[in-house]
Amino acid sequence: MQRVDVAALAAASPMRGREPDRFQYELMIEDDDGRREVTVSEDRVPEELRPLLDRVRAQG
Amino acid sequence: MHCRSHGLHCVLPPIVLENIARNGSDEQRDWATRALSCDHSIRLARVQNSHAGVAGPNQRADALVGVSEPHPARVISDAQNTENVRGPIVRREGDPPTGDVPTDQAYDGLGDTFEFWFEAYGRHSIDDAGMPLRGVVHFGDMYPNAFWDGQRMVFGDGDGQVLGVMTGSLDVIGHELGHGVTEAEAGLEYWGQSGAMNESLSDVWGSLVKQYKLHQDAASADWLIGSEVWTPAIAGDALRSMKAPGTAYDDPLVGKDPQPGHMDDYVETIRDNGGVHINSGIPNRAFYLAATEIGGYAWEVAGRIWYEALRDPALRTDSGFAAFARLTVIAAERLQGQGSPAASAIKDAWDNVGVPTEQPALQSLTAH
Repeated sequence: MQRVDVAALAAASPMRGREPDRFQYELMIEDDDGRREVTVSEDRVPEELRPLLDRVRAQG
Repeated sequence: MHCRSHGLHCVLPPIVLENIARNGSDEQRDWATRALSCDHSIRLARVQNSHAGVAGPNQRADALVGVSEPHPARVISDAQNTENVRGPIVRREGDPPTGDVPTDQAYDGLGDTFEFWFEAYGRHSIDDAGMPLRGVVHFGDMYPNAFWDGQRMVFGDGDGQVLGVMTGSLDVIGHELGHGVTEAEAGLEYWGQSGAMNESLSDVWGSLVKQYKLHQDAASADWLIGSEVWTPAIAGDALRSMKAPGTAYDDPLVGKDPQPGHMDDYVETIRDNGGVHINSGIPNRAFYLAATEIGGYAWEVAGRIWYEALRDPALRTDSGFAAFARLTVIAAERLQGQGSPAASAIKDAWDNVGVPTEQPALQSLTAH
């Protein structure tokens, strides 16, 4: 998460997908700068977020 | 000889085309597969013509008289539990069953969907131009979903606890390929009301593919989408009910079916691309009401009308429910006659779900 520009992601949210019926992820990120929500479609996930989402998905 | 569908001269022997279709790049495999489909039709026409005595001394033996029906050009790939949608090809058109259930179910489902579109509406594949039907199975790690990525249908295996494999649900397959049809015809934007209309159309096509396969009329159809998808652990009949939106499931883990069946209950949200899977319940119920009121096989009248509305140039990418509803009435009056029982049934159906069909005086027919 240290590599993620949370402010930029929140500003770009919701990152709508191009492909129908893909999953959408809603992330609530809380850090020293406050709480922000990021919504991103499965087919629009930025590379810097992929490790986090992979970990969340692996946990079920 | 010129192979009309793609400009490829059919002087190449089939074995060369087959090798290209097997080993080439995506683009090469695409045109080779189309060429084989065209070539097959021409060869069958030759056989038919020779049997019928059509090919006289002054006629070309390959004249396309009584050409055979197009057939799907199916290609199934195996993602091998990765997210690579260009994995090894495991079954091609005409290949025998592989024994892998998802592979064979995907192959059959793509074929059933192709057959529906061609036999019901004369549509040659998703793009009406013989587009190969590509499927990808075993996508991801216990991936509990299926989707159309613009070029292929992708199936996960499900997590086995909540959702099973999607390849066993013909209406899901018809739904996903239906997105390709909508994309080709109208490009309804996947957001808000136009997105919900996009979703509803896919549910209509998915349900009709299943009804067509099972020879069910509107009265005997179950009007459920994805009834095979939940595992037995989940208290649910299906993913969605077109007949009774909001009743498909009610389970402590996955929640309750949130679909409304009337505009009074329209859900304003930014989730789910503006509620595309939620508010699709409204036009879904409209189609169910229209089809059951008209009676008979739903694809023959109601489905035809919905299809013509989808193909109407007046349908815009941002058109909402009211715009589409208006076009179904126009199509019904054109196909069945003004004041016909079908046109009345369709007006009543939209009225029953709270969607106006009258042309507004000053407003544009777009999503609110």
